[in-house]
Amino acid sequence: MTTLKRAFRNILRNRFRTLLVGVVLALCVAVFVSVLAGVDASEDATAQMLAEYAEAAEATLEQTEQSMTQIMVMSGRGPFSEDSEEPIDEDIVDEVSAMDDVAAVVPVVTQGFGEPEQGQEPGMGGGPGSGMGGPTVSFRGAEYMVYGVPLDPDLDEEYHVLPVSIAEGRSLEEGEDSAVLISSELTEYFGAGVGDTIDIDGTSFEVVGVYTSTIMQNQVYMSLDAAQDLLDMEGELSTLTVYADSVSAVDDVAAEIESAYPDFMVMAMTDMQRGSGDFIQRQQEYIIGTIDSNLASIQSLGIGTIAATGVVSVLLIFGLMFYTVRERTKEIGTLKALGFSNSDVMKQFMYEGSYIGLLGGAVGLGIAALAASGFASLILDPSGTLGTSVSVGITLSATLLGLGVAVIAGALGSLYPAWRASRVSPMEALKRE
Amino acid sequence: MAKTILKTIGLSKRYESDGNSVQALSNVNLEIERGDFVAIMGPSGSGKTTLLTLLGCLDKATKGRVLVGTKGIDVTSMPEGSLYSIRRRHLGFILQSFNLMPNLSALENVELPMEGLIRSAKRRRKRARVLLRMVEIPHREKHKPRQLSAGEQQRVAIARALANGPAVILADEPTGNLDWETSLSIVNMLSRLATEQKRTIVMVTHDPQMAVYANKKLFIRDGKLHEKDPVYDEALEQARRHSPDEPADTTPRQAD
Repeated sequence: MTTLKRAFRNILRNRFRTLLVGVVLALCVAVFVSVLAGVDASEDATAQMLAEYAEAAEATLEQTEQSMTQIMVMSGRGPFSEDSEEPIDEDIVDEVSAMDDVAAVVPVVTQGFGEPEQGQEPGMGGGPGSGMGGPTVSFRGAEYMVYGVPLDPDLDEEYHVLPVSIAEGRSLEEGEDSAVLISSELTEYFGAGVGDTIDIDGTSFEVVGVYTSTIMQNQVYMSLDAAQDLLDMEGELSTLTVYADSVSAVDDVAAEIESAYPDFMVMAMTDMQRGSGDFIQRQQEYIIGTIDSNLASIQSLGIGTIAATGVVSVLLIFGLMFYTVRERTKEIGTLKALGFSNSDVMKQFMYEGSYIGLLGGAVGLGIAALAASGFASLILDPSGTLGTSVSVGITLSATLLGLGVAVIAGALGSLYPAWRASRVSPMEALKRE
Repeated sequence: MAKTILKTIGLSKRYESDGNSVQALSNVNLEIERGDFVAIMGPSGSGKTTLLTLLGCLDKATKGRVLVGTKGIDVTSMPEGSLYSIRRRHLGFILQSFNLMPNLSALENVELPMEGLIRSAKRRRKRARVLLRMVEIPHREKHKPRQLSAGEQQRVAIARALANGPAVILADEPTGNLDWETSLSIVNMLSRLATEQKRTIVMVTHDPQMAVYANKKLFIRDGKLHEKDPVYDEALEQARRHSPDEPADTTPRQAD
């Protein structure tokens, strides 16, 4: 019989005691592995969250930077003046496009439709389902706005002329003159959805898509040509959005347009958007900081728990083996009398401790496989955020590490008791009982 | 001519404990030859077991020397790291309370000392079976110590003591926990080991009825070794008269 086999048989001598220590050890290993997997999962989830957020923030910043190159051109003294309804000649598109440092020109035809309910005041924003509460308030008293824009895929991809977030159906496609894209709020107003037909001022349009937006809630998008036909504005525009090549060129381009068309109102968005860009950047830093700090807390808690379970495991084995050595002093003395060396005896007790570690570790892994998410949530995230957002899975590396740590804890815990055993005098064998 | 296999020269042992000093052995000079069956007798606390532990390399003498084997290896100055090898290869122990490993079968208990000396598990097992046959309990090889009678347990202990073919067997009150009949069979077995296999047996006992089977008797009183002892001589004479098969007596010899 080898020392290994004898060591295994020895741990089964007092099954209740071994079982008791094994169960506590198994729980320690289960917590150890679960927390380890939980921290891993949190790190992965956080990394993914940060990557997604960074991507979104980058897109927002890009959009903001693009907006900073934007110049609005309106007739009259602005959107609230009576003369703002004077149309702009469509030739302006080519003229402005030919100016230096102009990247793109987006012509827009727009007009409000529908009658406001009695007692309502005209104003900016709102419309059906604006979510602002109280009576519906619409632009110049309109229930919705027809918004005619060029259906140019390249222009749309670069400057998002059409809404980006399509909830149902699809966006408008080039050449579609009898199709519209409406906001989700307007589906209720028109009582129509994707595939239905709506009537605007006696003309029928098919709804091909429904978009969502927090600010553009009462728009009906259609092609520029369709809007010009509908509003009887052939060759005319309502407003013009001009994009400069760069932010630094915005002021020069705006000045050039103003000087060429002194009757029009020209508004550069630079200053307003710059503030917005700074805000987004500050907000991004704050959110990243919060996520990092949350992850650091989880990591600290995880490391603390892992260390605690390791220490408890070592102490458990130490206690068991220390007691075992004291209990078996006569037996150890007999082994020494029979010619077993100090290292033979030490090896046997180290094996016994490691076996208990291995058995406890194996059972612990079984428990962890069943309840890793529960343990991880309970310890790392008692409020329940992690448990619902992060799936904790036991990986092969966590399994091997857990088993390795259990065996090492067994060997470490039995080191001193085994050394004591090796120092037992063979004289102990002769002591009378 | 018989060869000396165990020899002590001026052997003394003093125990110090809690400021008290006890002289357990004083200037013991002894020579034991190959094939001797020596009984060491004496009252409790006289130093019998102390002498056995020193002869068995289990403890260190305070003074004097112990020479083991026909080449007279001086084990007195050997470190513990080397003594285990002497115990494993040259000495066998039989103890009063048998000291068998409770979770091992009779066969596995006999195999135990062979670990480290015989690599092949098959050979260890085969030899253990031969030894169990020799001590007449081959049918008990799978039994655990608790399933064996006291006599059977001591037979397993004898087989274990013989596992590595030691030249010397040291027995500490081997019949102390056995009934008279079983004690006789055990002592007979030890006697046969000495006469038939030429193994040297050193048996500590306080029972004259067992000591009569030894061909040499030594007496210890107050840590001093004597060839004769008035009290034990008479007891031995009586035991010899009542002994079922009166063994031959030889005069014990103290080393010069």
